[in-house]
Amino acid sequence: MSKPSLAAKLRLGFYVLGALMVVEVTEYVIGTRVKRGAWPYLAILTLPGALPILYYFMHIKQLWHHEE
Amino acid sequence: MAVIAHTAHKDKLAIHRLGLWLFIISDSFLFLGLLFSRFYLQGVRRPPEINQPLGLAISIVLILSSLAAYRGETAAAYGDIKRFRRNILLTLGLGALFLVGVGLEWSEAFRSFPPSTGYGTIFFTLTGFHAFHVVTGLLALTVALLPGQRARLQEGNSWGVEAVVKYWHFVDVAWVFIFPTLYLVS
Amino acid sequence: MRKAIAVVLSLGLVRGMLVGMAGAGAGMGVTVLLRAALGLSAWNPGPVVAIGTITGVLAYLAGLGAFSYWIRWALVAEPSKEGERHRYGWTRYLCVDINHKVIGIQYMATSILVIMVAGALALIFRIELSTPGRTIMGPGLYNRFMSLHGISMVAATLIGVSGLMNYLLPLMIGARDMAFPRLNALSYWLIPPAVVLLLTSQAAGGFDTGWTAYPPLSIKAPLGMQLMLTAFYLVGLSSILGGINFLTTIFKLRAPGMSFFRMPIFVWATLATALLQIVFTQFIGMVLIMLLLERLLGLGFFDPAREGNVLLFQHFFWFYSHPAVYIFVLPGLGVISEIVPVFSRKPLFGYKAVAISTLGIAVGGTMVWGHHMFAAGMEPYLRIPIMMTTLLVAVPTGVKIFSWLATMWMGKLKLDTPLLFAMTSIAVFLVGGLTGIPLAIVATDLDLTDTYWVVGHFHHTIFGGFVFPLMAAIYYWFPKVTGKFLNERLGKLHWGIMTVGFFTSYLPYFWLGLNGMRRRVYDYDPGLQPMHLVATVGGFMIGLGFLLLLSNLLVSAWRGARAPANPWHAQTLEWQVTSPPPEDNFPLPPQVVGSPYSYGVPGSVHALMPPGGAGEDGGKEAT
Ligand code: HEM
Ligand SMILES: [Cu+2]
Repeated sequence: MSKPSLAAKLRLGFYVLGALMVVEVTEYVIGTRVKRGAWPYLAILTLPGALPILYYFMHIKQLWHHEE
Repeated sequence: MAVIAHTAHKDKLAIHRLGLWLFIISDSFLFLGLLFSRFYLQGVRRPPEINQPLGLAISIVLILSSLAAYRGETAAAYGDIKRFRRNILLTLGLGALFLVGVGLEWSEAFRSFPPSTGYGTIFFTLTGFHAFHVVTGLLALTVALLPGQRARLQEGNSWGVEAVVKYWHFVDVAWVFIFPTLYLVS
Repeated sequence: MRKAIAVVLSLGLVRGMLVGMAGAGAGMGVTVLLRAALGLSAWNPGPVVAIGTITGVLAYLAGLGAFSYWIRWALVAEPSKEGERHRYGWTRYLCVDINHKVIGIQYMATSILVIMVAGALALIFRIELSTPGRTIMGPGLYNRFMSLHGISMVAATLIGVSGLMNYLLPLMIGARDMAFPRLNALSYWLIPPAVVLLLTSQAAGGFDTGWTAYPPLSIKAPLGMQLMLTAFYLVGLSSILGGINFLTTIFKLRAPGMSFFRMPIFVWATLATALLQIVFTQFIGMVLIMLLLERLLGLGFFDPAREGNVLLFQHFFWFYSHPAVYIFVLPGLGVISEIVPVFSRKPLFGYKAVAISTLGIAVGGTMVWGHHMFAAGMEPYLRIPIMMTTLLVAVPTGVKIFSWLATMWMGKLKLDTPLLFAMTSIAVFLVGGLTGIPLAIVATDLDLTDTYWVVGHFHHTIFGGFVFPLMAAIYYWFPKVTGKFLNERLGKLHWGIMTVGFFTSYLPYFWLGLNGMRRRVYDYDPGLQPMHLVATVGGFMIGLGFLLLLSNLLVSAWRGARAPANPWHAQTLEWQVTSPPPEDNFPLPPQVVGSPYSYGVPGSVHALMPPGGAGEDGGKEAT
């Protein structure tokens, strides 16, 4: 597999940002509109909030993929 | 007697990476404990005075700073030093802005739920621990801009940048959990 | 004279302590001035000392030179390693040195020193306990001594296991050093200020909470409490950094051919210990800071009047401190597994089961913390599950005991001091384990908790899992470390006195506990006196044992018999290099080809050594 270009990688960053923004705003809407019992939804939403950062920004794959 | 190096440069990178990951994993248990304390003492209670829009605003600032850090790190890995510097400076700026936001929060919170109250205890501790991580992250990012790392970048060694940026992302991940826990749950 | 002063000032420890004291003074001064400027009462010991502690520790580390390399790394591309390597002689032990063997010895010496101080305290309050009522001290001082003894021993144990792992791990896996040698040095150098803080705490009113520091008592205790909490925090920080280093070293620096199931059991033990260190120490660190925040800034974590809950502290304390007892004992149990096969000339029985059980203890041990809280008003639904998990952890522990016994069974036992101490360890640890069962069962624990039954139980587990294995380790590896044998006759005397002394001292504790002797009190019913007297006599025998050890160490280091590279004919890698090992351990990496414990199997080897080393036969068994 050839190394992706810098431009492609930078573009990927914006996609991740978009996804995170959507998650964050959804959380906010739930947190402000749902008056009681919002926490299970928020708990689930932390996953799409954290996983993209771990995967695309922090390259967590390094932990089990040793080459590169 | 010939002394060969046991570890080549590539192995060294893998070693450094594992060490940093273990540090991050370890540190995440600190935040886990803090989040647990919040639910143990306060359940999902949330005072009505908490400033939710401000919370959202600083969350967005922190996520933007993570993007800038990502761009800086990627540029450094590709040898684009100018872009690297620009983005890391941007990260620093956004991180400082985040701290200003926390400061505003705190001055409001001092009036509605000071640290000596039940919710204040939790709120100030969680945001305080997180802000401490932000401050150390800012210091680390600054180190990545110092001459030592600049010279190493010119030799194609971007580990120093990768390390501080990873730490910065971790601080962001921690906030992803803290934000709903303090501002949104019910 | 001038020259002597120059040498003393060149020692990192001295420089660090001097700069540290200046830093602490400066921090406190600035805080006082700031407080005055802000119109607060200028001298409020809590916050002033807190700031002084932080600035003091940072200044000490800087003065020591612990940060020098990193500062250079920030400023230049290829930082020079000046002053880091190749300093020989005794002075290197008092300076920042990044060789893992030096650091290991630094840890060990510190640990033994702290054990001596804390042991002397124990003997002093054992004298108090030899008669009912007041003997030599009042209740206040008794509580302070007892608390200082407890926390210092806990610290000494953490320091001691770090020392063992530091010295042995790289040698046993065929590495030249730890993965992060400078971080390793920093981990050690966080310890001396902790020791200093523990001792100065006594000048600041001491603390009388026992080692557990439960609120609300620890919120109200004098300033000494705060110093103890910061000391505990520093030891914890050191433990976390050490754990990261051990894990990275095990995962990345094993010699070619050393697969996981060819690692010595001590390395498995280090792996499990390090996992516990990096995960659980965070919780105690957090909860200690919470205590400090409540003491200093008036937060309300543990104050029911402000929606706080003291059980939060207890949960977190034991969520760390139960796994911590495995941090204390797993390395020691690993030492026993190293020594028993060598002196039985048989392979370790059930190697794989022992390796897995080591991890099993670590993982299982994470779910049992609540057995310390059965009587504390803990959530009732946790009681039965925690009782079950606690009893289950006995299974992997039992696997180890059976493995040792089966290894010795029909072996050609060579009753040298290391094996004698290992056998005492097994017996003592077994009693410790068996007396733990009634503490795991809710119904009996409600009666036994907070009595001398508990005190007897945990001293058995800690002596069996740490102190006696430490003695075994000292006799076993001293020839490797120094190139000289310890005196065997003195060693056997030391072993005899300490073993007899231990049981004389601690078996009575169980009887005392069953008969209503509460823990942490200086007074008791006169009917209990005979047993208390016996326990005191036994305690002094243990103390005598320690003195014999010290004299043996000193005399043998001075004029002990020369030891060859592999005096015990062991197969693990540390014995295949010269005694003492070369500065870089293995100039060329060994090639691991088989099990580390095939004793008695003709022609078996653990590793092929590159030519030119000391033990070129790689510890090959005679055919
Ligand atoms: C000469 C050896 C020792 C003697 C005579 C001794 C004696 C005692 C006694 C009598 C107590 C109970 C005090 C009380 O509850 O009033 C105690 C508590 C304790 N000891 Fe030891 N001990 C010795 C060695 C050790 C060692 C080697 C360790 C650990 C490595 C240790 C750790 C502790 C701890 C953690 C406590 C609990 C303190 C508390 O209640 O908070 N001791 N010791
Ligand atoms: Cu326990």
